[in-house]
Amino acid sequence: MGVGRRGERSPAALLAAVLFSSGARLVVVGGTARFLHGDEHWPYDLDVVLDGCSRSLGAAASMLGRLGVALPSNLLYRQSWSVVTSLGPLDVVAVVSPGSLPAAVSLDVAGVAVPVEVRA
Amino acid sequence: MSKRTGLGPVEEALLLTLDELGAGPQHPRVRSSVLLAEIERRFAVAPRYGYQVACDLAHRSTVWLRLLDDRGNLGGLGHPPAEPRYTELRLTPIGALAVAAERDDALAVPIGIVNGSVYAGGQRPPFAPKTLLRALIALLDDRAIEDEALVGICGPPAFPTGCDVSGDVEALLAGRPAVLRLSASVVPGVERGKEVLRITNLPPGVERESILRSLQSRVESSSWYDLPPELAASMRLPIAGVHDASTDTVLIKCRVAPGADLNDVGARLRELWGVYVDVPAALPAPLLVLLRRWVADHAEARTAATLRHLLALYEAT
Repeated sequence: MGVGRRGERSPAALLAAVLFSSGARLVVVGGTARFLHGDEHWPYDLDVVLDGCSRSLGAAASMLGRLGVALPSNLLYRQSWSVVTSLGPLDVVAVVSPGSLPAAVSLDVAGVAVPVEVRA
Repeated sequence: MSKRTGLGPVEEALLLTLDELGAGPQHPRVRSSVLLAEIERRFAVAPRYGYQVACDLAHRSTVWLRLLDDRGNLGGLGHPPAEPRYTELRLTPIGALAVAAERDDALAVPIGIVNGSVYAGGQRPPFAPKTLLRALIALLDDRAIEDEALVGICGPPAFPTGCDVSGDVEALLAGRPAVLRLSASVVPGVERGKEVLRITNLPPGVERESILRSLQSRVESSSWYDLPPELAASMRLPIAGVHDASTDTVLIKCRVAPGADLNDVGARLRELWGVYVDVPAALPAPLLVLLRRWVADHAEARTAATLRHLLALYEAT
């Protein structure tokens, strides 16, 4: 478990928690991952690797719809894509084959154990 | 980029073509579709790209020094522009001055340094015309002026929307790439006996609708029943309602929930994406070098008078 209450103030960290809670299988990478590991730099956007199984993609699309993003269905199946949500920009840096997400640790954001890439 | 004005090739093409179509500041505007067809014919600039640039050059909230004067709906405040056949354009007096400078009929003017390129997705930040032009005039008057005094006159980057600028401004002015944080104003107040927070001066590029959507999805009564309770609570902000009071400028009013601390709610709103954005910024050289180089390249007997004229034109708009 990690930064907890600090993480919930970051829109990017909240976005990760909301997407993960909705059933999207993902791993947080990039600046938000470093932030959740304790870096001071406030993340600009959320970078995630997303599991490409249809259940995960469907859950992500459904939650993004509630966050004000109407996702065209063909975008979901691209290898990478970006959208701007009401919690800030989301970069899906890679959609990987089902079950091949990178190694992650669970860090707490507002009571949700969000998978975050292992710190290098 | 033009050395005379600092404008890009598409901007220059638009201005020169408008001038040749006779659409000067004192003349009737021409239909945007006519202008776009002409710049495609003469400069091979595709109309859709040209129209986007034309809209940028006409918006008060996009550039400090407006070069085009419009009639019709050229978009803004989150709305797309109307089709070019329904809008009209002509040069503003500053646009006409830029054309004259490009044609060597007037002295060079630092429009590119003032307007920057962040509005068009670039990294050069804008500077307020009053301060930047006064810094150049001070430098023309006294080439030995101290660096500190010059930076003091010019000041930090400033955006036409009036948003607050923070971040590593010092590094930026020293010529190093930096991330600027652009923040809207969140001003507390009381209306009809209820505490409100007024959001104005949005950062450039942030659409009013996206802020409204963001706020409305997170008001106190918003439904996140399917999320874990702590996360659902984090998604809810202590605001009871959101009201869009925008007219020509953006004004969003958030009614603070009963019992919530006004300062705390203000702090949470300032952390909302869109109320602030981070933008990468870089100057092509340290600001002092840019200013001194511009003066070295363009100083003539009437340069200071030209800059004063440009400032007067800006202040008249």
